[in-house]
Amino acid sequence: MKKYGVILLTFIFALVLTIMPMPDWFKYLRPDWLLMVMLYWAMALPERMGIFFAFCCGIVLDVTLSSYLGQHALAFIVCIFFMGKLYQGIRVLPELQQSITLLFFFIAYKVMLLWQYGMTKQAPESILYFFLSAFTSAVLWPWLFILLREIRRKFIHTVA
Amino acid sequence: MQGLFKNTAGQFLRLAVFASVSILLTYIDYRDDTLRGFRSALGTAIVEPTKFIATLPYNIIQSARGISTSRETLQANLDNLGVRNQRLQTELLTLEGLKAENTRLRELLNSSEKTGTESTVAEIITIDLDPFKQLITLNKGSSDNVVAGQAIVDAYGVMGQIIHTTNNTATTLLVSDPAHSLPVQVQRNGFRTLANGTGHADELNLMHIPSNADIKVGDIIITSGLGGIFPKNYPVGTVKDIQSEVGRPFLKVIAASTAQLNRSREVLILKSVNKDNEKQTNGTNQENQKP
Repeated sequence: MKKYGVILLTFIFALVLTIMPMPDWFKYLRPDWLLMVMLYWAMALPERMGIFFAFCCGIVLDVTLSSYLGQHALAFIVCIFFMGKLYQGIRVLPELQQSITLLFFFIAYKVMLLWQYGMTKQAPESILYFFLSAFTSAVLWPWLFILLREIRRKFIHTVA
Repeated sequence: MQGLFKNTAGQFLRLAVFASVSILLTYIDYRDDTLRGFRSALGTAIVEPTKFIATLPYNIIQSARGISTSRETLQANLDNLGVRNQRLQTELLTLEGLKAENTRLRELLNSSEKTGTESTVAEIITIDLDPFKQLITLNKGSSDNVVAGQAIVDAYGVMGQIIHTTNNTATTLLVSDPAHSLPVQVQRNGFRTLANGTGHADELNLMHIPSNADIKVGDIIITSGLGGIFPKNYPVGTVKDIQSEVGRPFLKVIAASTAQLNRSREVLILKSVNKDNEKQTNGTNQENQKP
């Protein structure tokens, strides 16, 4: 149970970072912290990080950001599903190639959100700015990867 | 059994089930507010503590700044406020008289319209939500009898309406959000129109104004009270720009909002105009607003 605690703590930290007040110039650049943390755990411990958990995280994020329930949840579960298929190939890549690969996940996430925002008549006026955060997420990925890897090695001892 | 050959069919089934559940939830939430209780409970349990932690650094910096403010600045502030208070008091004296006269005249006309609305003061919590939506969070929630659908004003004009509440917070959709539309009228001649948000703070789009309408730059826009969420006669904005495009039936009219949408710290939550509207809570559902 203690092992799960550490994972949960990283999620709470990601959620805090998602809504933490930032300077104005940073507001379009804010990385999708929750998605990044989730993709890491889905890659490192795929048998722990399932679709149900991704769904719950998505619902929490929907409540936090006051979007319609299920919007972020759907985008999350699709990302986690594909990570569940591809983790074996991705986790052996060096950090730089990993972030390029994950950029596709981040963009796919944004595309799914854009589609849903369009369906509910909330389409953002600038598509370019909308996708900026996918690129910041990819740029920050190596650091997050190293940090979470250290956390995993220190606290979670599995053979997986 | 964890191995190379995982049960992929099972995984795909799980994806399909949860994807359908998500889409169903979105549909229900978009259509009406059946899920309000669930959202409020989850928000109180998980999101409120998160918001508290997220604002901690900012609050600490703010209070540190407050401690280190010099005595001179505070004195100057106090003097300013004193002068202002005096001026407002004198204005209030004349206003009281006018209000009494207004009530008397309305009684003569047998009109049931009430002047003056009850309100609660709330403070804006500094957190960043979606940058593509115009949302703010307030520090009053359902435990202070705040319900979704109530109107928010600041000292200068209409700001928006509450869409979701938790125990101690309330999320507000600002008038500048593209999904928000507000029934308004021109103060000078009572010409009625709709003010839609543009997505830019401090800018509103006045909709469906024919090219021969009597409207000019500098006109003051006030709420018309139609739609039932916003009380009548609150200032909304002033007309900033009028463009007529060839081949278009309507003018393109931009108004600058008088409320300081991205600067105010304290706001007023107004009591609902009529009780029926407490049920209409989905702020982005524009049917509630159209006259």
